[in-house]
Amino acid sequence: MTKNKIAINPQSLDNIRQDFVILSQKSANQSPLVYLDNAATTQKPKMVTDTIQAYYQRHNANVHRGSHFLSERATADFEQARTLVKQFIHAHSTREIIWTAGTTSAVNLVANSWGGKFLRKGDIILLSEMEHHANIVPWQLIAQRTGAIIKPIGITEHFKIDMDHYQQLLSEKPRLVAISHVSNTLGTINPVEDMVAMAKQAGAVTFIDGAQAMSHIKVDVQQIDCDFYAFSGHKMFGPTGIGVLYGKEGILNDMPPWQGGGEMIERVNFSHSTYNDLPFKFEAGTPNISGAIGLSAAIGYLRQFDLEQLQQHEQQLFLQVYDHLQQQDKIELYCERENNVGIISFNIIGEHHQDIGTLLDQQGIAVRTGHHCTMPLMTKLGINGTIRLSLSLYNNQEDVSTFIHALDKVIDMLQ
Amino acid sequence: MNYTQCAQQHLDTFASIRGWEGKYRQLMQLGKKLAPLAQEHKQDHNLVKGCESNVWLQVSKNDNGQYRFAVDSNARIVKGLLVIVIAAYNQLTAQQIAQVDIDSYIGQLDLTKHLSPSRNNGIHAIIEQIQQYGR
Repeated sequence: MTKNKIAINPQSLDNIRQDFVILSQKSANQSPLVYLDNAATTQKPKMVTDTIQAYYQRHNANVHRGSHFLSERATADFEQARTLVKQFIHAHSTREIIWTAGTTSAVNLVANSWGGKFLRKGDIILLSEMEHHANIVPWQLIAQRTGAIIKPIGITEHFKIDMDHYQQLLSEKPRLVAISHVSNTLGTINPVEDMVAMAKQAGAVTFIDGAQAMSHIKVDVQQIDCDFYAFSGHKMFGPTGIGVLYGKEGILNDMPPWQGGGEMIERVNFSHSTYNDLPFKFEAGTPNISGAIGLSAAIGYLRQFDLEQLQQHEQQLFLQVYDHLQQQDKIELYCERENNVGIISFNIIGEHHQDIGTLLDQQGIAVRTGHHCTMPLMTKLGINGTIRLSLSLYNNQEDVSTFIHALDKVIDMLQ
Repeated sequence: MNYTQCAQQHLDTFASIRGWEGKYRQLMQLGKKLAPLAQEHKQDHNLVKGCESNVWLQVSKNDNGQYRFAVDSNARIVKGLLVIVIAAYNQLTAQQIAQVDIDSYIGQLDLTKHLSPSRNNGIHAIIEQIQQYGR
């Protein structure tokens, strides 16, 4: 294992869990909280909440403006956060790191700025059938305005992207391919590197929604070679309301600003304004300073661990749940055993997912039920929703055992 | 306040059950016993919006001005809750409907802490619809 990293084992996990104060509280009916809704949002370690508190208590000032001591300190921390993100995803330059409110606003930025300028009537946008609404609806809106056409890439019965279908659609010379790195409903890790290479050959621009990847697997944007990559802070132990759009410098330079305001300009007069350089061109108004600094603390926290070991830990728990559920006659699974970050979607045959969620909640188990903002995928699977369990760094053996025991009880109650 | 006889019975039953498991088992039993809504009434216009499960509400009124609410759902717990909710309103006139203190009624079931009439479970939506008949 890597030197200077914190090992992830049953002993260290007790300490790791202490970093997340929220996990020690009681949930419904005084049951210990078992938090298995990490794909919705992860909990925040003390390192993150302390950093945000310290920022507001000691360093709060607006960035890139004042010449005073506090502003310089806040600006330094804010830009240091950008540098850390750049390193973490292995971007080429900090000019390629744009702060957004989250993945959704990053998609909207690209759809409006890049899409608004470059999409023409009849241009094809390829999305996969497993996309989150956030990687569908912004493209639909810009398609309506520009006359572009959205075509879905099918998925196989193994809950993977149908690569043959993808290849076939690429022959139609799409303008853009926008896909998730990891499906939020199925947990599938998509072969983004291959898909980007294929898209490039077909001359398409590529956008990767990385929201579900960042807290589980190593992301290297230069290796993936995508034009855009987006993610949210709150799904990787950081605060809500902050996210990142990575874009290659060349394509970002070709794009017009999306939102106007302070920060993003160079000179303004009533006949004409000129715009600031990257990345500030896309950051109108006072940014989410505490969010960016909080996210950098989250990255700092995550970097204490060896990502491969983290993945092994999550896999071990994932396989236990997966194998248990697969043995049950009454359970239908909507995910694969391989290539999964630790997200399990399932239904109990003949039962409504909402009932299962409620009865698990009564036992302190937090899972998500419903369509998970992937309605086209639900339609494809012929269901209205699923129960989704999603694992994270701090989940342990006890969480898994408690979940399995609680689900047995639910099944018993439904008989 | 005074509840309908049927509603009072539900309150008494739930008061006698200790623990979440018993209460939820009772809820699901109530749902199970409910006669299903006839297919002709399971139409889109009777579908209550804003629920995670499908919830149908069919309303009729007799010559004495008393309302009758019939419900159904494809989720068990919601169905049981619907049975309890309509028990508080069935056979009441518009004036009586307006006087029902539904929050207090549901509160007494001792389920509210974790199954409040929140927006997504359909109970809130159905109560709002029923209350529109009150004046």
